[in-house]
Amino acid sequence: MTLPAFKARADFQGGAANLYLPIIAGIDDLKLWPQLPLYHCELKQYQRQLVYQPQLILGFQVTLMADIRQEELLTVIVDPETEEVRIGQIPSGLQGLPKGFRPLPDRRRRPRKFQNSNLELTQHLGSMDWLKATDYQVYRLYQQACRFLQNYLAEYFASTEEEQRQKLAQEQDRLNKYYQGLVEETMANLYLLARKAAVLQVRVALAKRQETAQVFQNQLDEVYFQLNAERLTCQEVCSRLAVEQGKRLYELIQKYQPKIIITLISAARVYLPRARCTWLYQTPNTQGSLTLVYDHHAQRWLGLTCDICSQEIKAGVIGVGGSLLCLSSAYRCDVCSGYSEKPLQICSSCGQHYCASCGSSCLAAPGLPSCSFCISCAKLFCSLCYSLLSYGWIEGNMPLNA
Amino acid sequence: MVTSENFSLGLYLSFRIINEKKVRIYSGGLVNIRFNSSGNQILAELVWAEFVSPQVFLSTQQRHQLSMQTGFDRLLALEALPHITLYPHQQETVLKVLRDMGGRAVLADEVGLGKTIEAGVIMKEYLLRALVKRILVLVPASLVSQWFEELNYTLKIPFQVQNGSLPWTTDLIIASIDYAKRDPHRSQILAQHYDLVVVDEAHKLKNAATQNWRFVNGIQKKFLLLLTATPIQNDLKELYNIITLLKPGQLKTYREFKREFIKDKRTPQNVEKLHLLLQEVVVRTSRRETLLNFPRRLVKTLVVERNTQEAEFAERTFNYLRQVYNRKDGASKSVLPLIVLAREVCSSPAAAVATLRKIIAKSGSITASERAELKEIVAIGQNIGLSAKAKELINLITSTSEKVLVFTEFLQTQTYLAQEITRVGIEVTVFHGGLTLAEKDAAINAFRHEKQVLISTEAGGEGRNLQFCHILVNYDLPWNPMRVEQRIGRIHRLGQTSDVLICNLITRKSIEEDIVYLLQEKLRLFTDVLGGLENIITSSGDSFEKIIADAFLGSRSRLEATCILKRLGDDLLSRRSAYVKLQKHTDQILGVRG
Repeated sequence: MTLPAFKARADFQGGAANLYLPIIAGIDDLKLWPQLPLYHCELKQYQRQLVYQPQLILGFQVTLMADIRQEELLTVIVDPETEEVRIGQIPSGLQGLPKGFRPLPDRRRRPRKFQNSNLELTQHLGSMDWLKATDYQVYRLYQQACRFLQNYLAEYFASTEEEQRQKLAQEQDRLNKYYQGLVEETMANLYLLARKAAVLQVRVALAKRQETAQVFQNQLDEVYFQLNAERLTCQEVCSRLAVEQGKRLYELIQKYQPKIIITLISAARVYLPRARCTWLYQTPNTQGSLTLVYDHHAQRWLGLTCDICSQEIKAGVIGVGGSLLCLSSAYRCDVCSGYSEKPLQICSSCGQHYCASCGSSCLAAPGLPSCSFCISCAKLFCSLCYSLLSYGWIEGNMPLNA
Repeated sequence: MVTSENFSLGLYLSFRIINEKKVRIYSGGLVNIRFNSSGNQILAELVWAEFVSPQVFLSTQQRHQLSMQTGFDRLLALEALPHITLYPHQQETVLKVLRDMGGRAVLADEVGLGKTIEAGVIMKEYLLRALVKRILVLVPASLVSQWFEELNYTLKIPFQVQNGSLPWTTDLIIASIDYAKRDPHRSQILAQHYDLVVVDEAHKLKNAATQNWRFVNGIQKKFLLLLTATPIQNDLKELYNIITLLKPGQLKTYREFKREFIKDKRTPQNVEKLHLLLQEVVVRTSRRETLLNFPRRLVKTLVVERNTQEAEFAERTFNYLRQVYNRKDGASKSVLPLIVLAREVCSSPAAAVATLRKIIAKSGSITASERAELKEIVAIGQNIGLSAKAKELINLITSTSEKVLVFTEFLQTQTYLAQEITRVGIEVTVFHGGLTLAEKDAAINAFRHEKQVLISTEAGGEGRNLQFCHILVNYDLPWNPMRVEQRIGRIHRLGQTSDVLICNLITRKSIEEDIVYLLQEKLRLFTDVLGGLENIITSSGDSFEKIIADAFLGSRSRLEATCILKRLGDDLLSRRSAYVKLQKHTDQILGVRG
């Protein structure tokens, strides 16, 4: 191994690890069924098992470079179970993964050399085909972490960006005023000559005698000659100044344009012990099974989010379609007392809210799809009202599908 | 017409043609986010590594955490260079340049307060923070090696000196400004983009019409440091030119500057406002402000009588040199070899004999009679034995128990002295440019801990910390005051706690006697920390050495030579007082308490 290769290896040594978090008795009591915050349904514990799920913890060194240099270390945690990406910290109590826990990919596929360059995100990810082909999960999670970080940092350094922008604007303003001043000074003589020429032109026009006019005309010719020469000089000076100004401006931008370099300095795949629990549930109009994962270390359910608003469910219900819903996203059907994912329809007759399930079959014509819609008044009816209608109990309406 | 609109930045990809090539000025928002692909290595480790101890992983995390760079609140350069301790005024200057001035500043500290080390620490800091990669240091030719030593040995920055063999694309380069500004170098440099440019003795950029000014102005650089103790010499316009070079527009256009700030050529008006503007780009500390106590320089000149053989050897060698000198006509008069031999005669017979032998060995360069004459001289030189100066040196060393640093210009003299001193039972170590780095370190360590005497040549001891020694002996005197100052500077510098004794060993009625007179009586070189010596001695066209050689070898009598040197001395004296006045005037303009 060459010395630079050895040094590079030493730099990365210990930067990556596959670890796991052991079950700590008393804290991670996996025998217990954690409480599920779902209401208005009947839950029956069906099956539970201990699973080790990997979480990718990536340590990034973020370097801001402008006329100063600032470094930050950010730890980004990506959970494949929930697809959640967040800034966090490495959990304590980690242990090395025992040999054989994880099958290793074929060593021959490992690239021998990696380039060291600063690339834009798409180019950077594009250069990682080897990872995509070897461990797609890591690739996908890393990709998510990078995208998250890019957005996060744009906000994180917004104030610095603003500061740099102001500095640049201030410096640019100084520079522009200076060069503008120089250009004006350069052109001052040109203005004087132009003015002289204008005066002489008037004198030529107003001269009473031919000889006098000729004298002024000669002077005017002389001034025009000077004027042309001066104009050429001015052009030359101004273009030189423009080039110089361009150089100075370029230097300013080089100095003040902040550059953020993100370097991955550590990566750990941490296997966390989790309980996968399956329940059987029954609501007034639906029944089925529900499987969720509980993280004992974080003491929270993973994936217990509302299917409508994607917020974590503190207290929720199961919808008529079997969806998990938080209380603010669920609609309660007045007819069946179940919860619906969709907004409810309102009965024009009684004003009650009813769900799709309650209006799903036509009571007047069994076997046909629901059409609790009055042709004569173009109003919606719930199935209950509709059935009452069919007996003529509600005055002024005609039974439909009759 | 150039307007601000021409150069305004848009939030779109724009290109401008600058210097006939497309330069991408700006793209998208200000922040440019890039991913470093070195992280691929980590991911590969993650995928293929089977077992890594969590302790190793966590300690790696901590290592990164500790090595994280924050703002300029703490100087990484000082952590990387534990042997350097900056004085408060130096630290303040460095931080001010980095934090408040954005790396563009005139370092105008009064002489002897360490502008070079300040600039060096700034460079080191930028390099450590990877904010710069390419640095160009432009200095007067006479200071190139001094800068090289300071940057390489003291600041551990691997600079290379441009001696014609390096491409200008080299990252860290020191060059003489006079060399660099000449074509083809000039055009090659102007085509580069440097991150940092440092110009020493920047008062040479006082005139915007000069090639120097236009050359430095043309260089594309992100950061710029201009070092001068005298940014103003005769005219406020000089100051304007230097500031404009650094930050165009800081003092507006010259016409506006003149209207607003100049009362007459040397007197400013609106002084308060001018001070405020200057404070944004100029850092100046006066000696009084630093409250530093410099140790004294005590001088002892030991005049010894040559013994008969020595006197005959010197006399006959000088006669030969005069003959050769007078034979040469004005245009082709290359006096350098003659100067070297003359200096060797002043140093020791051993050094001169070696050169005389080489001259004899060169067939065709001298006549047969000259060869016979030289052979006789060599024979005398070889039989001299212990010279009077060496005897005096041994007496001096044996009379004290303190460390003694002996300087000589010649290797032969060094070897001769080492033999003679060892013979009387005193432990000696030698230091010269031919030693390897490890040998040099060993020699310094031996001197520090064991040996009483270090005999060093001119190339020796550069940038090394020899402040533990307080006695310096000039066994021979360089004919260039700059070199004498550099010798003294090895032990008399910031950090020296004791007074320094400088002993000059000279022989009666020799050239050295007159040189000591010039250096001490006119320049007060041995006793005062003058600084700015380069400016004082280089304002006369010829080099100092050549003037002395001309005086001694070209004069018909010793009296004539003494008269020439007296005139030179008077000239130096007047330049010295002018320089001191200039320093005070600069303090007033820059609003520094003198």
